[in-house]
Amino acid sequence: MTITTGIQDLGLENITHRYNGVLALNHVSLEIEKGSFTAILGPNGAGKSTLALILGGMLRPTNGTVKVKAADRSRSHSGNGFINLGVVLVPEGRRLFTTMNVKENLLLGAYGSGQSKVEMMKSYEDTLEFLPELKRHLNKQAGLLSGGEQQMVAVARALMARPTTIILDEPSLGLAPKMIERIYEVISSLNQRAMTVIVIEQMTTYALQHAQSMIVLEGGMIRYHGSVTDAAAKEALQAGYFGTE
Amino acid sequence: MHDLLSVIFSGLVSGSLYALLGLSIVIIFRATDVVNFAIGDIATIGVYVAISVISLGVPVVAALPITFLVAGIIGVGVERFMIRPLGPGNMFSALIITMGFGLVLQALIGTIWGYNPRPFPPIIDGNITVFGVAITYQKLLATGLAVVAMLLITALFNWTRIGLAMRASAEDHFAARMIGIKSTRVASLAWFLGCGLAGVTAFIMAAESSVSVALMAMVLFRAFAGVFLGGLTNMIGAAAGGMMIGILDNVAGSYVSASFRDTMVFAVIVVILFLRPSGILGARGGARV
Repeated sequence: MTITTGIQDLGLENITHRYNGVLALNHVSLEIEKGSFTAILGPNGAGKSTLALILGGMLRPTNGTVKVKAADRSRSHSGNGFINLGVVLVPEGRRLFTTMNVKENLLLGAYGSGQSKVEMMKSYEDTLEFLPELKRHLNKQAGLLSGGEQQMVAVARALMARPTTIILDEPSLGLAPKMIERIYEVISSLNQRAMTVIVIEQMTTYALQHAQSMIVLEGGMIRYHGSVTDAAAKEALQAGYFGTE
Repeated sequence: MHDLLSVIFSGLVSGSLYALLGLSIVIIFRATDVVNFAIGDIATIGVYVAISVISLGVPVVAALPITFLVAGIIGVGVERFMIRPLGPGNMFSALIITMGFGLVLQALIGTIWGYNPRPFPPIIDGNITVFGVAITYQKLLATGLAVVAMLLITALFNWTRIGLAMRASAEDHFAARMIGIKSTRVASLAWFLGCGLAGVTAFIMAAESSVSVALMAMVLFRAFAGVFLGGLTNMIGAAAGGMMIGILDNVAGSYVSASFRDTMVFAVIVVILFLRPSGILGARGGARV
């Protein structure tokens, strides 16, 4: 089941992906609506991170079509993902430049979006205004920050590209509950500012408090795609995680 | 009677060349994971081109940027047409290719310019006495050039956009691609800078002696030693390693025996690498989870 109302932001058609022959995604089709907040949930090994990489343009699927803002981007081969199309990925494990300071990490975030130096400094100021807790860490080495602080820097680095769509892979992994709440507060506020948000999580609690629609992935296939509040949602979630048929 | 201070000083003078060449090797390695064994021969070609243009009447000073450009452009070509087509993760093939290409270049030099050593005009005459050692202005100028080149590289990597991008790419190729850094552009620039700087080293070497196919053999040998000593991934380490090799070399040559120079230098390296396998400042293996 797919949502067909509104304008399509990202779309996957019949995506299959194999790693050296091992099936990770099996005929996955989905549409992400512009301005929506989608949670992609599923147990370990369901294919969530593969899906995140494909949505962000960092991995070319073995088969199928990837659409960004209704244009076919399956053959795009820049190696730089969809960042120049306004789609940013905050990957699993954050992937900060740990030997560099926070300021350098943030500035690097603007590189792929073709901003001038003036625009880059404007993005920098806006990002710090949006995430004021980063101000006191600017000169610290990113690798020395706590997990929660690093996650904030990762989000901030992504925002530096002035994206229309943000994909976050396991943003809550390994963080304290208070920090997870703050991260979701930030993500929700981005969504309220008309940004399309996709959150990939193994832990469902926080994601479901904020998302409007959800996709349950299991064994590389979509089990459910619809509203979070739908009666079938809870059932799909249980089936997805515990395999009750 | 040798004065230790003067021995150390002249060690630093030759060490600055090993440091500069070591830096060139590290710049290329960090950006593309390739240990470029052809770097000495690429640099030597640059110097032979310089000899040819000098013989046409171009002043020696103007021949330096020409050497830099020629070596740099050859480097870009090697990366683009020999290394990049291999794809990522082919470190061993890349290593063999650079070794082979180095041999091809040597044959090419022999064919075009001949195998006999060629004289190279000195840049400056005269000498000065420092710590009781007579040092030629030429050597002092060489050291100054090497130091200036190293300072410029430091500035580039710390204060420019492209330098920041190169550091990011060196630290995490995937994350750099993800934020939109063009890895191909970083690779080209690294090979240009690395080979160009090696060209500068070769030029300085040539100005001190004469030019032959084996111009860079001794320096390259010691630069590699310095790089492995300081750490293949660390620029400061590579430069410091080169300086240390210069000092060690001189101390061993003066206090032990000139014929045991290499033995002493490499014995120390073996001991250090035994204690710290990735070099003194190199990144340690194993990922932090």
